[in-house]
Amino acid sequence: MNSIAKDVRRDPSDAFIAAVRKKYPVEPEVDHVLTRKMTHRHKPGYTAISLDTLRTGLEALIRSEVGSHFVLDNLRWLPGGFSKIQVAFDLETDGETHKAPERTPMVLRMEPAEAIVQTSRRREFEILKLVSGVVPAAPVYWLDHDGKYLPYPALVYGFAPGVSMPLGGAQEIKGGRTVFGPGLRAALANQFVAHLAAIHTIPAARVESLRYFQPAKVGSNESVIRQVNWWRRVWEEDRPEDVPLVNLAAQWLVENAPPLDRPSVVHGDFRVGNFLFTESNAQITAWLDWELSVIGDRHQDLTWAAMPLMRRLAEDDRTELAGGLIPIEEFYRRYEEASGLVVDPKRLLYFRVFNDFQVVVHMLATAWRVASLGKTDKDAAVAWISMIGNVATASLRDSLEKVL
Amino acid sequence: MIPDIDLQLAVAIRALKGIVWDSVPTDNISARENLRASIATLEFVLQRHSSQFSRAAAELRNTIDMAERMARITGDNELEGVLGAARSAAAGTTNDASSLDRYRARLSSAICDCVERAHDQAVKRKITEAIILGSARQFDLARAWCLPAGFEADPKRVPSLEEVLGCAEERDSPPVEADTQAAKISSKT
Repeated sequence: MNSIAKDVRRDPSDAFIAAVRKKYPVEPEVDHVLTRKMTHRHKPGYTAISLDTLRTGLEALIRSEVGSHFVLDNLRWLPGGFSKIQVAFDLETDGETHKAPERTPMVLRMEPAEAIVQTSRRREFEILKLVSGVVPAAPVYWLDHDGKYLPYPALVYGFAPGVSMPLGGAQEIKGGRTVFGPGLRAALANQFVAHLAAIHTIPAARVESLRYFQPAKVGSNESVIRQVNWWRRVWEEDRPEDVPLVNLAAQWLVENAPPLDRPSVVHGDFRVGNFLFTESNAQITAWLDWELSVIGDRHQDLTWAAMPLMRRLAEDDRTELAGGLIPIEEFYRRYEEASGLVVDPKRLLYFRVFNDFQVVVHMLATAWRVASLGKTDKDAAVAWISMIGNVATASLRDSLEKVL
Repeated sequence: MIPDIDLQLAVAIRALKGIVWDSVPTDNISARENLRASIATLEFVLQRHSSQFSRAAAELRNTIDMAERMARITGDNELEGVLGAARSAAAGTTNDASSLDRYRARLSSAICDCVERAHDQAVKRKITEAIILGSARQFDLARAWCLPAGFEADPKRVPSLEEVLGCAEERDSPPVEADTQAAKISSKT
C-alpha cells in the first residue's frame, strides 16, 4: 500500500477500500462514514451551493418533521470553521406546530463533499442530545444523515449567542500569547474545568444508551485500539506520501494502548475556540463541534485541551496556559477535584502521542487530500491550515522520544 | 522580455488587497474568507518559491540520511536499491524540484515498508531510534518553511530557513539556480 507510482487514493478501487477496511477495523458508524467517503471520492468536488438551494432543502427536511406551518427567514452564511458549512436562519412557526417556539434562531450544519475530518452527523446529533442539560450546548432539532433533503449530510441545531474569542483579540494569538485577560481567564477557566468534569462523569447508564457509539469495556484496551485504527485508516486513505514517523507512532500506540479504567464520553475536540461565551458576563453559552466524540478515556480530552499546539503564554511570557486559560498543572489538579477522577501521568503521556498522531493525520493527510481534490468551499484555507501538520509532526516526534 | 515571476505575484497580491478586497461585500463571508486565504497563500508563495529547489534537495538529503541509518540496521535489499537511486538523484545535475520530491517520496515509502516488516524487538527498537533521530532535521526544515503561516506557539524555537537549507544550497543547487537567486537578491537590494 506504500506504492506512490500511482495515486491509488485519488480514485480508489473496491479492492483498495476493502483491504483498508479489513486491516483497520473501526466502530460500525465510523466504518460507514469512511467507506462512504472513499466510494464517493471519484465524484466531482465542491460546487458552489446557493442559499436558495439550502433554503429548499431545509424546508423539505423541516416539513418532513413538523409539517408545513413554518417560514424560514434571515438565512445567512456563518463565518469560521474549516470542516463544515454553516448557515444561520430563523424558523418562524404560526403556533399550529408545537415542536419549536414561534421564532427560533437555528443553524444548519452541513458537510462539504469531503471534510477535513469526515465524521457522522448521526453521532453528532445523538451526542448533542445526550449532553443537553449536562453542559451548555445548543439544542438539536433535526437530522438529514444521508443527504436526503440537503446536498450533503446535515443537522439543524439552535443558534447559541456569544463569541469564541474576545472581540479584537484574535490577531494577538499569532505571537503565542494568550488573548484572554486575567479576569476573563479566571471566569472561563472555572467553567472550562467544571464542564470537562461534567462530560466525563455522565452516568454509565446514559452513555450506554447511545446507539451509534460502540461501548467501551473497563479493563480492556479494545476501544483505544479502535480509535488508533480509525486514524491509521484515515492516514491510509488520504495521505499524499509516507512519513515513517507516523507508521512508528501507530505501531507504538497499538502496542502500548492502556486498558480503560472508566468509560467516559470524550468530547474529542475540547479546547478554546470550541465554546462560545458572552463577553458581558463571561458565561460559556455552548460547547461546539462534538463530531469527534467517542466513548473512551478521559485522558484524551485532558491532553487535547493542554496540547502544545493549544498552549499560550501568560503575561510573564513563561507560564504555559492550557488553551490560554489555565496553568497546566492547575488544570489537572482542579479537574481531579471537580470530577473525583484521577489524572494518571502515564495515560497523559500515551494520549499526548495519540493526539499528536491524530492532528498529523488530519493535517498532513486529510487536509491535503481534501484541498487537492477541491472538495470544500474553503480549499485555500484548508490547504493553509494543513501547515499545522508540521508543528504537530515535530510534537509527535518529541512525544515519542519521551515515551521510548 | 519574460516577466519577472516575483513581480507578477507581487502585483497580483497588490490588486487583490488594494482593489478586489474592498469590492467584496462584507456580508459575503465565504468570498471574504477565500480571498483572505488566497492572498495569504500568494504572499507565502512569493516568499518561498525561489527556494523550492534548495528545499527539495535538503529534504532528499535528510531522507537519504534516515534511510542510511535504516539500511545499516536492516540490511534490507529493497531499501538499498531505492537508496542508491536517491543518492544518484541527489548527486546529479537535475534542477527539477519535483523530480527530487519523487525520489524522496519513494525513499520514505521504502523506509515505511521496513518499519512494517520489522518484527524482531531489538531491530524494532533500533529502527525507532533511527527514525526519531533521523526525523529531527526534516521536521526542523518543514517548520522553518511553514513559519510564516504563524502556527508556531514560540517561533524563536524554530531554526531559520537559511540554517536548515544551508548545506543543501551549498552542495546541491545547480549553478543556474544559484545564479538566478543571486540575481533576484541583488535586484531587490
